[in-house]
Amino acid sequence: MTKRIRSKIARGSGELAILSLLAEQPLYGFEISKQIGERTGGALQFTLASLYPLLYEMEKRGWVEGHWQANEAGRDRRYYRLTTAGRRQLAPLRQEWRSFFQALDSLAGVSHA
Amino acid sequence: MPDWKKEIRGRMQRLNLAPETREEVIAELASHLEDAESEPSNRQGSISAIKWRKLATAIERSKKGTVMNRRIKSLWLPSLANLAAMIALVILFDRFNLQEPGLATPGHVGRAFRIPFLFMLPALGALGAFLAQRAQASRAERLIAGLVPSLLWLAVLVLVGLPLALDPQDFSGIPMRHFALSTIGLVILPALLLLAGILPFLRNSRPRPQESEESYA
Repeated sequence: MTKRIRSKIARGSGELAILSLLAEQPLYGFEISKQIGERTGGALQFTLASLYPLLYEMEKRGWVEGHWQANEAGRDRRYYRLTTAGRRQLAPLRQEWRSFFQALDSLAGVSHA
Repeated sequence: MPDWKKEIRGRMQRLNLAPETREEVIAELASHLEDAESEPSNRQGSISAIKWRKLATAIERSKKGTVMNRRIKSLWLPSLANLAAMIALVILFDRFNLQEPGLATPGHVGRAFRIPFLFMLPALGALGAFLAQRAQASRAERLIAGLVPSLLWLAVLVLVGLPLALDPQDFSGIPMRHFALSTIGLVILPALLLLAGILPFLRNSRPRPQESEESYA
């Protein structure tokens, strides 16, 4: 698998992961990376270097919206929330990934379940 | 606890974004590192492991549209407004027989030195620089937006006047002496007068990183 394809898969899965998390509640960058790591058992991990370019890209596309707000500890953090455009993007993205895993499953016996 | 903002600012000097956007990015990355440090189990590698140059490029690319919008607002729109004002002025001068400016030619040296037109130039310089300042332009952008009328004349001289001056066979051409006079009357003198209007708008710089930073702290 070429580096380019790998990077596209990582990017696509990252977008889906972030949109899915933000569909539940607004989160700031560190929380996003932490929750993705915890909820995937460490299989998906976002570092500072991989998370923010992706978040900014999604913000530019209008899928998410960032605003500064104090967190529980009273520290200002930039929270991201899903926009209507982002919410609209979520269903087709989920469907795309479902089809992708079904295709892989039928080919190589890789199940997404 | 380290001063993460200072640390990141030092490592991301190449991050080419509008100052306020740049400071917001730095503040956000700093808050991430601050959180990562306070939770050792979640530490995402050492700060030295991050490829900052690559990260700066990736962030710039992610915010590319924003950079373009900023450049349009801070440089191109003020420059175009200034240019439109100058063209309108030339048309008005022509309409009311107020001696519009033009290239100096034998017998018409005064065309390059139209006093009423020259008097209007500080106002044009101020207009361009003011509009650029309002869009939080850098000093260089404010200067360019204010000097646009002069730059346009320079382009006209280089593209039209110079070939005519350099062609000795062309009897309808402009002698080199007149080309030099045109350069003085249409480029150098106007640039100085435009600068007089621009100067007040060069004093106030854009919001300094310190100021932006305080609003996040």
